[in-house]
Amino acid sequence: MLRPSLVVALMLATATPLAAQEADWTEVRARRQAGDIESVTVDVEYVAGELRVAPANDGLLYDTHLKYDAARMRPERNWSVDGNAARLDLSFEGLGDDGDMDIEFEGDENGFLELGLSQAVPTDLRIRVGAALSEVDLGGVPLTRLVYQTGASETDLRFGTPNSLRMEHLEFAVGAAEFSATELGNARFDEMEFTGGVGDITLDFTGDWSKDASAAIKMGLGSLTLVFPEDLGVRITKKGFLASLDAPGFTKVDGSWQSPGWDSATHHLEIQLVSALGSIEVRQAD
Amino acid sequence: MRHGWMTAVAVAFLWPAGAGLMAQEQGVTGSTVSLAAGAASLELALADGEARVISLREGEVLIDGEVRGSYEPGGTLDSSWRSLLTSPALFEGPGLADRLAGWMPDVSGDAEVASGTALESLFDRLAESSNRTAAAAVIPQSATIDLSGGGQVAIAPGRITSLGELTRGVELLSRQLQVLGGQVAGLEENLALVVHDDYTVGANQLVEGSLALLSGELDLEGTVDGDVLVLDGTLTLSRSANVTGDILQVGGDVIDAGGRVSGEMVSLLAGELGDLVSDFEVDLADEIDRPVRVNVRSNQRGFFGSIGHNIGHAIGGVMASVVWLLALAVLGFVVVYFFRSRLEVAAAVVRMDTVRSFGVGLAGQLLVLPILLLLVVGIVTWLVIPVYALAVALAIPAGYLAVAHAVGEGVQEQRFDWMDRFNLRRGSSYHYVFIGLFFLLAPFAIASVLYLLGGMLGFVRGLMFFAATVLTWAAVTTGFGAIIITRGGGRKGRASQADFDDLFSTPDSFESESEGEASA
Repeated sequence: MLRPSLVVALMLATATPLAAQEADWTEVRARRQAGDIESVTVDVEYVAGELRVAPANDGLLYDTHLKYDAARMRPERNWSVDGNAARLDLSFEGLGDDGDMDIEFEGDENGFLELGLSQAVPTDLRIRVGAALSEVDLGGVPLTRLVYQTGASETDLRFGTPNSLRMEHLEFAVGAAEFSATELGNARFDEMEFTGGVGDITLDFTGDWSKDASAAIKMGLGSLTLVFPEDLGVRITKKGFLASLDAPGFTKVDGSWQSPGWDSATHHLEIQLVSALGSIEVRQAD
Repeated sequence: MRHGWMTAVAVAFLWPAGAGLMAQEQGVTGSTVSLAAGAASLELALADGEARVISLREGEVLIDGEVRGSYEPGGTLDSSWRSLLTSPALFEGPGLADRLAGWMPDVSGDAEVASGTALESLFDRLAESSNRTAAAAVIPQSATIDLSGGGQVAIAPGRITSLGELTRGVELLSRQLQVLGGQVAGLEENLALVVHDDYTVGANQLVEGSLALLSGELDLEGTVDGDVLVLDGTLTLSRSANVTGDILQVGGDVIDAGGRVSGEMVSLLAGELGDLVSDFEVDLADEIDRPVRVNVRSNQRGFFGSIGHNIGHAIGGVMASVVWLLALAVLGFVVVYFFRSRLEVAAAVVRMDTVRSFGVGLAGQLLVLPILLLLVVGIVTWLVIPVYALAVALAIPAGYLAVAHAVGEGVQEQRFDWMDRFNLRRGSSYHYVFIGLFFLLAPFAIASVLYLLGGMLGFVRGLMFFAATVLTWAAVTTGFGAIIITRGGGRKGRASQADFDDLFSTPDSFESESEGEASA
């Protein structure tokens, strides 16, 4: 759902006379059956538009549905198989000079990438997003690793259902963006790393926790909201200056902030938090 | 070679031919049909490895190359024979020999009666032989559609109902293949079968090569050992279907009912496939790591581009202001350390004689170049010119720092509560310079922050940048004048010594507060 500000901006963009090259919108769907593939590495680089990631239909290894301006960019897919391990690279090449990509938005017609991922094959996923509106639902995708990097974008990432596999590493790198990651407890990660630049960030650690984990959160400027389930033991060690921490219910123990149920919790999350400037709000889920 | 097969199809149009099918059965393991303007042939492959070739060619009925009769070209027997060979029902499923034996040729004239009898006799013997050897026959796991006939591409179904429709379909295929270019090079060169009407590749059949669907409904139950190109029509992949390559859908529909596709299924849903690069034949591994840069055009970047653009501008502007502040502060600290008294004198003149300093500075700026020209023209000694240039170059930043010092002093004398709260009130020249620079550069930072609000405050932002620039010029000019007036801070200006004493003394208000605290 587009926000009102986005709609206004798109209307303004529509009113702007465009003297540039006419867009050549092309829509392509490419999918592949899982077959004998036992593991897959997916590396996606998406520059601008709308990105939607969700589980693919049964039996498919991946399912990409892409709309792009063929006058300005060209999608590149590379597929390779080594034994039963596969790798898919999806990126875009600009058709301007030196690979530059001039992107324009005409009216409400934007490019998009819908990426469906296997529900059965263990996946190592890396997504790099430029200026995009992203909706990522990884619930049901067996992930062994996730790296999500984004620049100036608006991202809503969630794990709707528990990951069937143990995720060794979960990493977010967010530039100047509005970023929300919810139900991170379903990610089943061992360790998480978050690096944020400027923006409004929400990290929601609710979900079905099955083991202890650790997280390192580095925040530059902006607002950071951390949400935890009540039954999860949380300990936050904060470093930084000029960053306020508002953690109602948490108590300070040995220099760290500890959630009320730390001692009785079945699973624990240790967080190393570094913030330069901004506000940090910690609250427990309803 | 790219369009070699197209040439073959064109030839097929000129001499209606090039059709054929395969069927698997006991005794007869394969068949090939060839139709041409003057000939219509059926080649049957037998289980024992032998073959029977039955042809009606140029008025002669030939069996394995031997003349067994005659017929009237274009006559009754010729038409009946061709109708038999182009009937899809003849080749569907097992029992080809039996169906051939059941054929009743239409004949006219004694010659054709004898020829028809010879053909019926042959087919009866084949059927009998097939049935006799059925129990011992080894049924292949799959049969081959081998219609290449010397490299030609097979057209299916063999029944060509509308030559015009097929022609249009093949022309469409030709155009699409040209558009697709190298991306389907493998498919094109390996093309084995073109389907232009309803057709079924049976569960035990194998297409040895790629397949293109022009139109119609193609039920794929068997195996395609290659790629499949769907231009129009409907391709249904049954559960038993197996495609070893890719499926490229440019038009029509693809219904996947559970078949296996080893490659990728690519569907062009809108636009021209043009430059779409898939892994059909193109290896782009070397280009994957090529960096992609985004250039967002002014006024045409849209919402997403504007967000990043505005934030980048705001951060960049603030950071530039901070860098300038730090650089000038370092320079100011050096000047305070080595030339403190001179800086204080110049700053005092700025404060006490601001208008005169500005006027002198303005005049000095206007005279910088004329004086330089005068020195060059009426040169006394060359050494004067670099000294003059150096003096001007030093006077400008020194004057700006003097203004910063004066501004800092002025700010410190104000009763800003927040300065007390953060314990920022200091009385040294170092603090005066730093705080003065902070206030002088702050308008630039504020103007940069306005970028965050996008185009709505563009006018205000421009006004703020203009004001900041004018303020900076005024500060430089005033400071330059103060430096000139004080000869680089070496002598006091027109202001009285008492004025300077007042400036360098502790303000009354501070003294009274200090006294009050002391008395308390």
